[in-house]
Amino acid sequence: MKKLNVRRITAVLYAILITAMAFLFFTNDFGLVDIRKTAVIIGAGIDVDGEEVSVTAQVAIPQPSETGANTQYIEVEGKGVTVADALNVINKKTGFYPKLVFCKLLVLGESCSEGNIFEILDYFYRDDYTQLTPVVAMCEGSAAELLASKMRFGNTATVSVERLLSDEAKKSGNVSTVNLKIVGIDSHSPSKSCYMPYIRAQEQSAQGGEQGGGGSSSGQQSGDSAGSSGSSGGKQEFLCDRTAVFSDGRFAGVLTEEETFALNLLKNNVRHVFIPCGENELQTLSLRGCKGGVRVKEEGGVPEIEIYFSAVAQIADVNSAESPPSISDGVVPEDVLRAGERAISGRMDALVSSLKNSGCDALGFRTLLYRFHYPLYERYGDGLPSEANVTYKVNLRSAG
Amino acid sequence: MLKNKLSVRQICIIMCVYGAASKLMLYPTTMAAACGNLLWASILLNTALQSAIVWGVCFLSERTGVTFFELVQRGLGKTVARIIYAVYAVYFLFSAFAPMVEQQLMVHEAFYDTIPSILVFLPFFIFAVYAGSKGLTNAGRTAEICLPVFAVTVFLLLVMSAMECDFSALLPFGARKFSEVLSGCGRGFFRFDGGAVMLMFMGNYEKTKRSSLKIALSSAIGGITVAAVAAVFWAVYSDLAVVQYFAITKISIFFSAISLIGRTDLLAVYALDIAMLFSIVLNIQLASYALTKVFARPLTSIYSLALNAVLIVLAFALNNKFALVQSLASSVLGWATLACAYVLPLAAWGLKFMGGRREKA
Repeated sequence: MKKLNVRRITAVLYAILITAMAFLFFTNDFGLVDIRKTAVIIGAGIDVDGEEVSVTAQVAIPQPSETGANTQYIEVEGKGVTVADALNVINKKTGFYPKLVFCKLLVLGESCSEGNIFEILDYFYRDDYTQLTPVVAMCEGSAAELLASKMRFGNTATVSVERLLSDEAKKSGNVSTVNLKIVGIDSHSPSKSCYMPYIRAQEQSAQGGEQGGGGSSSGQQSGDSAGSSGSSGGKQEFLCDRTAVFSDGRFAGVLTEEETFALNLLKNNVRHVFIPCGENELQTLSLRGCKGGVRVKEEGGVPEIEIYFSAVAQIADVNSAESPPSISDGVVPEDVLRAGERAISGRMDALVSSLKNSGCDALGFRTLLYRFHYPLYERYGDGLPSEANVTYKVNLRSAG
Repeated sequence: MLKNKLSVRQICIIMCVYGAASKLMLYPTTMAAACGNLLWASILLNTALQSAIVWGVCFLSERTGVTFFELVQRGLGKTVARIIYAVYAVYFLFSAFAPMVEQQLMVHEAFYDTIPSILVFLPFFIFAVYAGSKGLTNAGRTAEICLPVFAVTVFLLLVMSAMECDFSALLPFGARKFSEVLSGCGRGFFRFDGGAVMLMFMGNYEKTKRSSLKIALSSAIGGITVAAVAAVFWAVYSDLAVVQYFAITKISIFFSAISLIGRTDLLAVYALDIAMLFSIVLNIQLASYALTKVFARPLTSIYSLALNAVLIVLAFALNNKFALVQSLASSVLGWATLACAYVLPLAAWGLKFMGGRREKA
């Protein structure tokens, strides 16, 4: 009879034990799948009422359904003295642990602009279980109402806003999408300024389209949850083409659509943007290969700010009829290019003026001076952006 | 029979891979808090010191061809050699503790959605008891397995974080005082115990051409890797780096594909974690090796069991006292590292000369 190799068997058993334990060590999926536990917050809105913070969470709850409608979305509100306290109230109301790991959107209500926004946002930087990836935005009115809005395109408010603030939208230069990381870094940089999209909701008439539904039903409330006021009216659509700016954590104003566009050209990696230009004949230029930004140079011991932008232009459309041969030519006339440059410079100048007036360094002049000309920063840093000497260098080239 | 023979290649890998793996968890965050944008400078300074002392010990090993135990025994007698090895056993045991707690917290934070019980970390000890009972040869072999895992995962994580890096955040170099860099060196000093590790390897490998240089360079490459990860970490998070614990799990989360397909970067973190676990277990293996010399009996299973029992007791006693562990590590263990990984290796050169004079007499 073959003798058993005890050492070998022990080693194999040990290896099996270690493998089994490794699964326990590395995963947390051995518990029963509890639908209530798997409910996740996909978006959160925060409003401030005096000393009280109100957090409204849009929660996705998987449903054990055979009808195809396998996810339900509800808005739940919690109030407390801090964000953590308010989230704990949500926990108490619903019984599930609010997992912010899946939170993709954070909307600050207009009431948050009254104080320092970091009194609210600090929680997200402190909490180890929250990533800094959620997109942050401020909205007109109440964030709770915004999240409870019935959307014209049939999605939840979170999904709609997320789509409007997507990376693709950011590349079009129309929205100034930022996440918690960018807001935190900008605010803690020498510039002490940050910005975020400013969302406006506008109501649509009933004929404006059907609610898709799909696998979701929005607006269902739980307990004394919020949002009924928002869902009582007509269907909503959102506009995110303005930008709220903050200095030292405090609200410093809202940039117009044109200023927001200029900000996006300079701060974001935009790919394909459109800009109207011209005086008598109006053209819309399509710009690709955009390269824009801010440089700080030293001129005679004084900092000089240079704002630069270059792109390849094509005429996307003209407000008059043109013959096919002239369209196929593809070359943008010099006067149109110059008109395009003037339009862009004008928007940038409006942006800089607006930021100078509000004392907000959203373009990061002080940070650039600190990083690249530190000795000058110590002397001139405090005077920026209000005393900045700014020059513009805009260059459009014809694609043809 | 316990095998303690290593090749120069294995030592090089241990110095490079294990030396770097154990420093990728909390170390970049603590350095960010101490030195800000100059965190990489502090890491490089400590790396240079460690590499120099590692080179010194390798050179001593080549010149004498004996283990550190034999060297001390010749110079100061067997009892002193045993006492010194007992000190090293204790030193390696406590050296394992701080990174082990960091590992525990990292696993809890990165792999779990909510705070789990400390009990889920107990399987680590089952693994540690087993690995700790193996000799140094085993440590060398596992290091060879860990090398490709470590290289590929670190490379992947760095690539995933590349798009989010703003390296201008590392500027300016002149805004911070050199004293802050030195303070950072002090806080992270306990992690640079390469000199002590090399003392245990002394006499356990066959010297080859330029082996001292190769081992010292490997130690330097490990340190440079850590400095590079720390620089990327700062480039991703800038001033927020000080509140982002467990750097290696955080640098890649902004990778665009993650928002679509989930935390795929965690696969790389899981794999890297294997190298990290082995790097922690190396300390237990070294402590176990030191105890075999102290008691002159190769009862490594028992030593490993006892060492891990102490670690379990410490883990329970100091559960939720992470700040205290860090503070003790950077102060008490820092001094112990100075003694065990820098002063004693230099003293070993003195013993070499003493032994030489005695032989001549």
